[in-house]
Amino acid sequence: MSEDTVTRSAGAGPEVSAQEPRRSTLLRLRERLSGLTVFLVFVLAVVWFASQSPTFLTVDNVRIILLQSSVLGVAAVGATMALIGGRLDISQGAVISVIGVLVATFSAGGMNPYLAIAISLAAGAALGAVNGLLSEAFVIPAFIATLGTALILRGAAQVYTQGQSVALGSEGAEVWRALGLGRVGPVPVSVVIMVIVFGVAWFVMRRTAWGMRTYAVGSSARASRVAGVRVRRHRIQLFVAAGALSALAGVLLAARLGSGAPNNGQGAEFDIFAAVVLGGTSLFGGRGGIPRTFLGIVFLATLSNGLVITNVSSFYQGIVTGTVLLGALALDRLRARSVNDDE
Amino acid sequence: MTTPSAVLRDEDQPGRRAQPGDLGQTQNSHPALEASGITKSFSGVQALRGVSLVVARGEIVGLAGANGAGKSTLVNIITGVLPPDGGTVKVAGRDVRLNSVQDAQRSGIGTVRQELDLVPALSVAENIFLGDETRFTRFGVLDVASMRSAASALLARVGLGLLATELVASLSIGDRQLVAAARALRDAASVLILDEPTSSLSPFESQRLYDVIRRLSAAGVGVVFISHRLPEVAEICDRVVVMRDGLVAAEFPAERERMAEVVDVMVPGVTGATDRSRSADPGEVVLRLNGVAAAGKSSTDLTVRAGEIVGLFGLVGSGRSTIGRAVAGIVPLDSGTMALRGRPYAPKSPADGFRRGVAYLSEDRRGESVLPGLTVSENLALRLPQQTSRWGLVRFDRVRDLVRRSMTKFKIRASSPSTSIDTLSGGNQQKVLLARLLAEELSVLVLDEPTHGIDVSAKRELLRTLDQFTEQGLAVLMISSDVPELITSADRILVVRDGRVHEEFSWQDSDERTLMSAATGGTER
Repeated sequence: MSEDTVTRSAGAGPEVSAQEPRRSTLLRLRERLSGLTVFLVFVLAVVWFASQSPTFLTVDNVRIILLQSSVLGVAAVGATMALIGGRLDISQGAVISVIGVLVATFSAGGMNPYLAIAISLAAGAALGAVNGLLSEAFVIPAFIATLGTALILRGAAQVYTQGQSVALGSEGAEVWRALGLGRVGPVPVSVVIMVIVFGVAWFVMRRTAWGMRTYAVGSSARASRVAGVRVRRHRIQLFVAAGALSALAGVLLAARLGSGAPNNGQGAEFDIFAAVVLGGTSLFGGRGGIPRTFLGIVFLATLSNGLVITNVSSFYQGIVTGTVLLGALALDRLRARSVNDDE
Repeated sequence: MTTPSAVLRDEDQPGRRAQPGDLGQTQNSHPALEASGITKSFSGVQALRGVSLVVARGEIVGLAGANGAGKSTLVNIITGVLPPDGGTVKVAGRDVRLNSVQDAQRSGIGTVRQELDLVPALSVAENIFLGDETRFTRFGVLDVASMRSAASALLARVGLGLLATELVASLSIGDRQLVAAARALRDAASVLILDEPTSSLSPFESQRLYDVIRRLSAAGVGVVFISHRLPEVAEICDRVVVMRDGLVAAEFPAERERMAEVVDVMVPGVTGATDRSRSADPGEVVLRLNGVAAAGKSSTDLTVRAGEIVGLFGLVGSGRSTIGRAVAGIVPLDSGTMALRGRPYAPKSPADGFRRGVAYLSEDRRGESVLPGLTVSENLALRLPQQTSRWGLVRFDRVRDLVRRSMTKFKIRASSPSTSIDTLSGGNQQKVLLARLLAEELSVLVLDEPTHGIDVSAKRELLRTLDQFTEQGLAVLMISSDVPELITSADRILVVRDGRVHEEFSWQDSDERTLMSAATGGTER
């Protein structure tokens, strides 16, 4: 009898509508679950490491994990925004090292640290604009465009420094020390900065028109254009944001290390993508989120910290990280297919 | 209305066909192609309802029908692109099972498609034997010389005097079409399917193609020729088969004088009663086009007034969409000028168009309208932030409000605003997209096939809403190939052919025959 009523009410609308709610909840559930899978694995990893080592779940070690997350975390926010908008920036590692060298050079030359930081962030934004122009105005695929700039930037840093690291100067040393090693209460300054960056980015992506349009552009650039969104300009802005955030990461890294070097941040882009993808942001644009990336970045830092603390040889780190990443990617593909399976 | 949907049986065939007594004697006595009882449905919609088509050896059969009559589906089934739900296909008397385009080709069904599927970077010979190179390989090594000579032989059959080594990229469109024909013939085709082969050809190039078709027909190849252009069908074909609503509705000898009857069958006669609530006096001219040419289409003039729906009717490829897309700022103008409320209007992008109050709803719902993976609310409110946010912040209370109001007003059936748009039916998606555009103050709304592929009730609701907005002074340019829809909703109907508005009709003077004749050039000498 109840079945009868269902059929009849479905008959009133177009025939597909009867299945709509059920299908969408199923999809949603699957989406939630896959986010949850990563979280569950994360919790399991924490429990495992805690059971293996009494020092793992101490305030000091958690602080170390967060500190290790902070540099890549800041850069990963930029990567997440760009990916949601449908663009890939693989020059982030190179920007981190170039800006590190730049800010150290400024500091060594006696420049006021705040001014040096401001110029460096602006330089990062400018590098992002170059990536954006190459990708959107010259229509070079973003992967190639940013690969090209990455090679040039890292090469330039090596030429300029002759492969040596550049130490920060004594001018404003207390600022650098605070940025690199200082704390607000129990929390390291760079962790505070990372949390602020994540918070602002989350707000921008979910509460502003610009953020909403980023999702739209990543979901369908053509539809967005026809609907009156300036797609190219928007994507250039995404590259600028990614560049500026990479620069901030470069500054934080230089402050922590006390120097800038052309090899700092080498390969950082791979860790960044691993974290972003682990968080569940789609490589195809339009889906993902800032909080997810936070989970991804902390997860990766926890993995490498935990492996060290439980005396697993560091040689195994890549294997573990890669396995976790591939698992996450496989989930992403499955999800993408389930969304498009009526095609 | 007219002819009962006659299923074409062997007995109905005209002269050239082999006589029943000959059957089974030699292979030659069988028809080149014999498709019978083909059925096909797409998600519940019956696209083909038992279609039979017989093509005798050497016969050239024209296949006509309005958009959506089932022509493409039938062609796709015969050429192995789609599997049929039921029915059989015989080639030269042999049953064939077609699971792929390769199957069809090997079974002797060659196809030349509208969109040229040649690879520009490869040579003519490589294109002709693409996917079948193994016949020229020994131990995996390609015998280039024999492939070239085989290609040259095929080129000679289609009367194309060019080297097999030339790159396709360097060929004219007409030559490419003939290369495609040569490829269709490579597996000793008994039947050749030409799907809108002349749509991008010049008259001279078309003539060259006709010559080739006639030559092949004389050599015994059966030909199915699909075209919107009826004079062309009358010129080249022996017989015209007219499809409507997934059935063969009638057939005629392909004579110029009979083309008017073909149009009659393509679009069934009388229009439904028109109930118009809208007042019939439009206001000032809002949009004016002077000699607008874009995307290589020839130039056109038109005006749209406030409170008026102007219908733009034309067949696929007539350039009607180009006009709409030029107005929206999606394609740049080659020449000509536009004016909006008397002031010059030259949008450089859709964003520019929106700023002046011009919105466009694309005919490509999946590719150019819907934001897949995002929610109903996000899809609907895509443009809204520009209006409701201060300092770029989204006023979610207002967004919710708008979405709720729109869902009621446009009768959007979705379980909630946060449902993914992908789960909605086409009609409901279209309502969301229309609501997106009408959420802001517009001067001109351009709609490209707004009701294509959506169910009848959604269509009615959509058109009613459109009527309300028009009543309030919106100027609407509605591109459509749905004649009844145009007659019931438009005030004036402009018929586009070859990129140009050829004729204008008031809705009172319009009927499907008149429009279809004007669009096909069917009544012209």
